[in-house]
Amino acid sequence: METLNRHIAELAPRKFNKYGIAWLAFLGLVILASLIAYWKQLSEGLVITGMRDYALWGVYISNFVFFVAISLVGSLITAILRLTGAHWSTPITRISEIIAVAAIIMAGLTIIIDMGRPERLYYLFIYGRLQSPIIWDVIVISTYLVISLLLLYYPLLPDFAILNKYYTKQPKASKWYGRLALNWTGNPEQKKRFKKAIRMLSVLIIPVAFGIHTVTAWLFATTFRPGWDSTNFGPYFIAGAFVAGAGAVITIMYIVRRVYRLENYITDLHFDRMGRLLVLLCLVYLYFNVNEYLVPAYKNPVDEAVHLESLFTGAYAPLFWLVIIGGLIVPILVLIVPRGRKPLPVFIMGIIVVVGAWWKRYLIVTPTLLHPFLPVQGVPESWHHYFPTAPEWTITFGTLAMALLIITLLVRYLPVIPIQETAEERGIIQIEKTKAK
Amino acid sequence: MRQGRHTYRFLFLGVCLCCISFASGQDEKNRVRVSLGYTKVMPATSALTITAKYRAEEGIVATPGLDFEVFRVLEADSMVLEGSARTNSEGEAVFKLKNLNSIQPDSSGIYTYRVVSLEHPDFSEAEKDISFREALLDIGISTADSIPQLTATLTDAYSGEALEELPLRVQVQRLFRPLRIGEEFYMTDSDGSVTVPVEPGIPGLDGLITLEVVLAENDDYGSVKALVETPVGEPIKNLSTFNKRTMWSPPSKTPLFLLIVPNLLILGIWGAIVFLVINLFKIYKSKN
Repeated sequence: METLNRHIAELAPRKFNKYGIAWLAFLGLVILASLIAYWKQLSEGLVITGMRDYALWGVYISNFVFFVAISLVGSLITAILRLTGAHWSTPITRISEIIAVAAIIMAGLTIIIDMGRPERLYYLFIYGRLQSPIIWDVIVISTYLVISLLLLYYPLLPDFAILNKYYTKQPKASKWYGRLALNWTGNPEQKKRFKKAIRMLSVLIIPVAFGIHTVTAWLFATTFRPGWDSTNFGPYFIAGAFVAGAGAVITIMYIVRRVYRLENYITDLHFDRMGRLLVLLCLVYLYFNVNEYLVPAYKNPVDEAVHLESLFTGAYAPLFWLVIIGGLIVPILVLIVPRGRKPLPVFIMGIIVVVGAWWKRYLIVTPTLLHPFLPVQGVPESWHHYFPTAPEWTITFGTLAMALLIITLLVRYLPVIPIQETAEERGIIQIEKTKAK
Repeated sequence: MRQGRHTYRFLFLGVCLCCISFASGQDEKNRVRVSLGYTKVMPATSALTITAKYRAEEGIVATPGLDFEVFRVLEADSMVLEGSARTNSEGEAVFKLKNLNSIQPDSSGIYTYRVVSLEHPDFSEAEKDISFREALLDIGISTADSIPQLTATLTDAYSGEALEELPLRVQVQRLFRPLRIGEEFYMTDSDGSVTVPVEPGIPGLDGLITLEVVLAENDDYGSVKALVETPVGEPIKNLSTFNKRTMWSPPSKTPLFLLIVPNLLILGIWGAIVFLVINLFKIYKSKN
């Protein structure tokens, strides 16, 4: 019993230390600044952004695609690895589920920010046409959000029941965990229903997750523009999303391990495995990138040539090569060697991959819009270019801070590593049962 | 010394003039120029077109958002309020009149209307009268030597007399602007009639074309228009997808496959979600 109690004590949610509180305050400040900027946007309109007739999608949509990409990690780690029997991933499933929930919530909010007039959201439901990929996106995002919440909640039931008993000296916490545990006792009927639901969710989330990112890709691919006119965009986006999601999990799992001292649970093995996985995902994404750029570059129609030139050697070249080399090739080279798969290098590569993934979305959205098939002419000079304005950056950083805040709060109040599942996998519960007999 | 006193007087006078001109400048409103037109579309649709303009720095421009009251002027110079109208962004307002058949004109068969602009912070009040007689324009289609012919007859509604020597335009109704037939205009004869052959080969859906005869902006009768739909055109097939279920249709005309397949998928997935939520409830209930 002592072993189990120690196990619970190590994994039970803990209060923030001073760094945690400082982190929360920092996020709060960024969010406050973004709310002020958003109020300004609401009052004065989207004219305060850098978006104009041509660059009508800007950093908000790049940010939205980034969030959608990150959210895909829930299906990768939880569902795909679970269904393939990769039990090593158990300690990081909760982290990936938390990231998925935070990311998909913020993806939905980012779209509302981009709309400019949030009170008109209901127009989508009243006047929306099923022929429009935007409606598909609304449907699939809301569906994915609900499934992600269920996928986060279901595995928490046994853990909530454990925490209900564990926090007997803190009645308030115990009461809340007890309510959330839904009378979980682990009886055969509950277990049967529980296993069935987890299996169902693991299967259900995969097509929906693929759907959400394919539909997001179709928002671009169904629009006839250089750089987007591709039948390959769905798989290309999914491959990129897996890279971004894996990078996000690596980053958060390193921080959680350091802060909560979970070296016994999130081990070097996990970083090694995640490093290997990231190499594989980066290679697949690199392959899709070669496909996306090589084929149009070979055929080189005029409009594609202008767009590709801006990426390869033009105004966007430094960013483009930084993203491709820094965000994909360098992680592959570092992580392919065993020394590179130690926690710290993997963590650094994870951050680089996430930052690269964010800018990659910016490069997908903006240069294309500034190179339409009909040349940009007869408009003010400023319309030829796009760079986010200060309010746009503030709001964007605010959304990123909100995602981090959701993750931070969920990490604070939920057991970040599944208590029951790890105890079962480590045989702790079995040992306790044997001792009891 | 005396010269100095004059200088002070001139200065005082100058300041007063400046103040007066400034004060009057504050209240100065733009003078609105109103023009009125009368249009009748047979058999019984009559309207007044009110156009309001004013002189701005950039020239004569439209006066949008100006409210007018429309009065019918009676013989004893009394007036009956008919309604109100507001100019649009082009400075125009169309005021639909009551059926003139039910209204008695004055003793000489003339109807008189007056429009009066209401108070506006930027524009001064303005009014304008229009007087017109009511004309009737009857049209019909006949065939002579297997060529379809349009016959139009213009008469004065009050006296019943034929109106001769008035120009009538004959045209085919089209989406953006009418297609004129034959000459620029035809003068009515002593019977107030014109007869115009309709050229073969004018395309129309299922051969149907709408012919229009127009008396345009006449000083006495305003504009009078009569329409007739007749199957004398060259039949063409309707290529419009307006009523079809297409990817570019409104929500009510979504293609069936797009209604069925995604909705089945949505139902399937949300069915599973509902099942999972119910499952949570069942877990809650089966604690023992």
